Amino acid sequence: MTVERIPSGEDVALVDLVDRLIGGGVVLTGDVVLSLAGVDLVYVGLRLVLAPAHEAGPVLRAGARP
Amino acid sequence: MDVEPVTVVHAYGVVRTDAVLDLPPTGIGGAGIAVLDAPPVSAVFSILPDRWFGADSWRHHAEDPEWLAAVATEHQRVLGALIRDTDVLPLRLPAMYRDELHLREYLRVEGPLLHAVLESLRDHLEWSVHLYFVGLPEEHTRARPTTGADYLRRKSRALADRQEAQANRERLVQNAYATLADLSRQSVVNRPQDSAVSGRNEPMLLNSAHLVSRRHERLFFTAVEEAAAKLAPNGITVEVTGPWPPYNFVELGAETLAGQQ
Repeated sequence: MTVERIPSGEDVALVDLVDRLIGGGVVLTGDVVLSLAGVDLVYVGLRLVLAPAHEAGPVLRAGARP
Repeated sequence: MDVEPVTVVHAYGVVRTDAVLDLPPTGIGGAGIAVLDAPPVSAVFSILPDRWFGADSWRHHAEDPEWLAAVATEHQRVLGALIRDTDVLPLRLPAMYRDELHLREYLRVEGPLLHAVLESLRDHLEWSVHLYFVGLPEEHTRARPTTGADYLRRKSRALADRQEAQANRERLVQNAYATLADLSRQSVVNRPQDSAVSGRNEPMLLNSAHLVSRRHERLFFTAVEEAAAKLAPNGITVEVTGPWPPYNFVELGAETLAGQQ
């Protein structure tokens, strides 16, 4: 078998999952639980999930709010 | 009088009300999982302690990769179990509601559109295809050039060879994508994942998502295997992740939904 099949539950598929959670899926909003800025921060955090330790700094700064 | 909320509702995804579900025993934080009906659609949800998973928690952990990764993984684990038996519209995180009444209200308002989307995706799942250039074995170094002109000639030929190989690879990648797209209901090409985050050193040549009928899954995977066999001699490997709920094919933002009302 030449194709590597990775089930969606595996740790290595986390990058794929985060890509999806950031870019896709249904937004069923209306209940203003998080402010827009709060949601933005979550996506910064999700990007951080992906970033190796040495790259976390700049990403963190970019997402920081005054 | 304002009463501090003790619990919060976390919704995983939306299904058809008549769908047969095999709910996993636990969801995020070990909480139970339940179904909220607002025919023709229903939401699969957990009631979570507001203290740990409420709005303040999300704000507090917004830049906390470990916490977010754990919640995202649990969210996906539940969806991953559901898609085995039925079609699910995955909710983007944070998918949080004050209580069941609020969630039911959104389902009621947006139900017709959600149901239409579920119908349009009936019996389809999403798969990701990644192509990586892992490179070719080093060529044997030929005899040393005898003259300067010989050296330049070889250098220019090597450059031309490299450019041709790259053009060839691009063609192969496009062909592979086209073949797989033909077997998919819909396909999208996403930005290749950076090697720093994919955990692989090799450059990603293709990062595509495909909406594939459950009935055509075997056909799709045969095509993937065939593509891999064609790509391997050119130093390209194939990786498939999935199945996923159709995240890439249900981009319904708040605006889209509101526009339908």
